[in-house]
Amino acid sequence: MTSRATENHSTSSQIKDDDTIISIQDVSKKFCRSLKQAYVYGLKDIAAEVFGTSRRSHALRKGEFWALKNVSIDVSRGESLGLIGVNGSGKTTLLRIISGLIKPDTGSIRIRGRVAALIALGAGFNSLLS
Amino acid sequence: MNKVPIQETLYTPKSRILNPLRLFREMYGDLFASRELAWRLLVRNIRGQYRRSFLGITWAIVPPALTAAGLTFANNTGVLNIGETDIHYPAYVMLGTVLWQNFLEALNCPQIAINTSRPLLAQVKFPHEAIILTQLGQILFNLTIKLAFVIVLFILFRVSVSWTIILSPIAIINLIILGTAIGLLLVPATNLIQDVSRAMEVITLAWFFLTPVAYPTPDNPILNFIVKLNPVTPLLVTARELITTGVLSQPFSFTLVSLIALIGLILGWLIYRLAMPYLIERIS
Repeated sequence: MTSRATENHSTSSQIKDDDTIISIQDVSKKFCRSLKQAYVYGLKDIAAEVFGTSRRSHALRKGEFWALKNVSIDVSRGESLGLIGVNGSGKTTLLRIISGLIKPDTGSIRIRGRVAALIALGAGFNSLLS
Repeated sequence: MNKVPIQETLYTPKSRILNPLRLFREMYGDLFASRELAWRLLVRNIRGQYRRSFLGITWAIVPPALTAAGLTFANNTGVLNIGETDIHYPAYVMLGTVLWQNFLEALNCPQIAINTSRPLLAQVKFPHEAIILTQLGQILFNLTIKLAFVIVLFILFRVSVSWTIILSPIAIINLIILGTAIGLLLVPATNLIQDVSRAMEVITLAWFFLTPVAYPTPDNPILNFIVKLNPVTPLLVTARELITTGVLSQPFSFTLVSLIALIGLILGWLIYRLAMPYLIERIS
């Protein structure tokens, strides 16, 4: 699930077999507004992840809301797609899920090739050295 | 041209531990993939650290030197009654403090790594092992400076060392492994709940006094029992003995704790890896 570089030497005949490079199916993501509650839920989710039990991510817990709900997008080779929305509508959240930074709560994301996410500029800068 | 299959990636809500083989393969692969990034970050951090400081690397030595000076003063004036140590007390306590701080830095390493890399973690996908390796590199860098100072002190006090000093890196590295293991195991708690990281400060202070850093293994049966239960004791004492006398007093507990530390490190790494997406979700 890493987006490490792989050389892509496929010929055009191969491309036609499967043109979809990013396939997002019914992806949802929930967040919690209360910070303390969010941290407690975080610990519970980590525990579920470590012990391999279901974290029942499809259901909302107290204080949670859906930041993304059942988002499905297919992006084909050569296609450009713009995400437009008001502040806090989940654009960055969706991009974070696609780039694998955070996990979806429902659905799945299938990516062919590698994702070079540039979610924000200035990442990794040391303010003293730049 | 060779046909290389396009890499396919799948993200689902399911726990990654359910596919342990893949998880271990990824852990192994990411450890290697992160070497170069870790090195760049290390160079960046060390440069940044000393750019705005006039005294530079002196600050690595000041804390242990002050602790050692204070304890030596207390011992010489009779406020503190330590008893006989194998070598001159100032050299003894300085070495102990450096070793203890080495452990402490390793213990705090994962938390500091995450805290200082927040923007990077929130925006870029990269092997997260890199930030831990960076911190470990910094610990080794600091340790080298401090040990150089200890050597100067040893020469000043004419302390003789044993040939076993060449084996001491094993014990020192085991101290780092133990610290990092505990730090990694606590990553979810320390980074999500501030009370835990606060509590750690208090606990490590008490821990310092229950470790034979400034005193030799005590005769008092109760204190002796507590000190022996402390996992840092055999590692620290063995490191010190390898450097000074060459006579090991706790070889069995040293081996045992080293093994446990190694297992703990792998477990901690696993937990760190599994916890990261959830931490990133909440720190960004």
